[in-house]
Amino acid sequence: MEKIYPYAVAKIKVKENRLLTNANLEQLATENNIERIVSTLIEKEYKFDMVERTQDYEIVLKQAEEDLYKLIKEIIEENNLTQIFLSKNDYYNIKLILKSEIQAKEYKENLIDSGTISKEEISSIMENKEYDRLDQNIKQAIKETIELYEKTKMPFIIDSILDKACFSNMKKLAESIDNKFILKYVEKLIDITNIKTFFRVRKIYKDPFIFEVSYIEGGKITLKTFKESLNEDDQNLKYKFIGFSDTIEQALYNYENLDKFCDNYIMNYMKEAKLKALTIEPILAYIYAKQTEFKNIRIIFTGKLNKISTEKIKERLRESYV
Amino acid sequence: MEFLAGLADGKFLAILGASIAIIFAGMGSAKGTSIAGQAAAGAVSEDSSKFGKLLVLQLLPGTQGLYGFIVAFLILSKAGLLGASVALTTGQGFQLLAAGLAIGITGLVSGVAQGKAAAAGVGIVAKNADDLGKAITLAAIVETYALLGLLISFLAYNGVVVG
Repeated sequence: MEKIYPYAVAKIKVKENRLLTNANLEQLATENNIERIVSTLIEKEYKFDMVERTQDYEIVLKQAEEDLYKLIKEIIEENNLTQIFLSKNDYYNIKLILKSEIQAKEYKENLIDSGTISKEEISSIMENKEYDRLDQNIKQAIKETIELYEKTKMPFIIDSILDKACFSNMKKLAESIDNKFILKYVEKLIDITNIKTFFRVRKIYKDPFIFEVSYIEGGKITLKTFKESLNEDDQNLKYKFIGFSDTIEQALYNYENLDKFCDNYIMNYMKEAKLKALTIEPILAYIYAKQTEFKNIRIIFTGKLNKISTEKIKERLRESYV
Repeated sequence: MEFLAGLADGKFLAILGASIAIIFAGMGSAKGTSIAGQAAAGAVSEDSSKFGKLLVLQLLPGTQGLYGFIVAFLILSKAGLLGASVALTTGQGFQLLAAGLAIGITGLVSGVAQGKAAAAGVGIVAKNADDLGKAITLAAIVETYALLGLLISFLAYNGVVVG
């Protein structure tokens, strides 16, 4: 019998009422007065009172993200659920440090602090090469990355190996929760990441080897399908990827917004969680919904502060959960 | 031998029937109200104005325990344990035990199931407080099966002739 979370799910259902709807987002994108945008966000529980200038919205979003994960940890015991979302930030930091070391560039300012390991700790581990302090998966992936980079001297190897390790770790975490919806989410995320790589390789590099090295195992679409489709005509492409045809069609029509279409694909999957009343799915969907909301707020703020047109901002906005 | 004779005692079997009715139906209600109560607590922790409405939903799975209590009381009464003593054969004891089983088992299963339906209803009220009626109706349908269990227990109880 599936584990039920009556307290957590009911709490989340109330919180869903405070998410920004698609209509709210459209309205915010149209609004030219930043103060009004801020007051709408304050109504949605964003703590803008902690900053003096609205330009510091990143601090508010960081706080909102911390509050989100704190809440989830409080209401369910499944620590691995939050790890699925947070662990990728560790891998991002490691990639950044390794690449910066190769290019002898300063990286500390660009590290992100929302991983499972603090940015100070990760930079100390990497600088002192104390990989034993890390989880076995990450440790193994770092060693493999360094070895292969030494041999090939190709920087994309770093992204490729660590991305693979990151998704393999996410899948392990999802399997440990024993819920098909979560496992399917990670599999879909892998497929959608491969689709993004596929489009980039198809458009820019046109080299099957690059795709092969970057291909992440664990999704439903096989490497063979991707390789066969690299030289496929645009018209036939959507028939190659069953279940992803809408995303493929949108990406072919508007490549610039590929990331948005991929995000929307996952969001549409997440909306299936609305039909679940007691099990863990709505909690996963809420985390994803909040993360998308943070992304949308960033799009609105950067757009408004850089005087980007309303139409352009609206075009970039991701689909909301509500 | 005395032990076996005790097991075949009509009164003992009647008490067992009454206990089954109250224990299992009570377990169903306890579990059901707990699930609905946890959901209600989750919603109230975010919006305390919904407490009154959600309390109704939490109470719904509580009826099974009450039905179990009624049947248990009737069985004990017929067995002569609450008033004037009556002679009860082993066969009559078994009949009363069987009467208690109906509400005991339907009460257990429907109580848990209704608790889940009520907890799901909390989700409806969490979204829109005006939809309380819909949430109650959906959860109340599960009650039908507890009522059928009660009815059969009552009919069986009535059919047992003692004295």
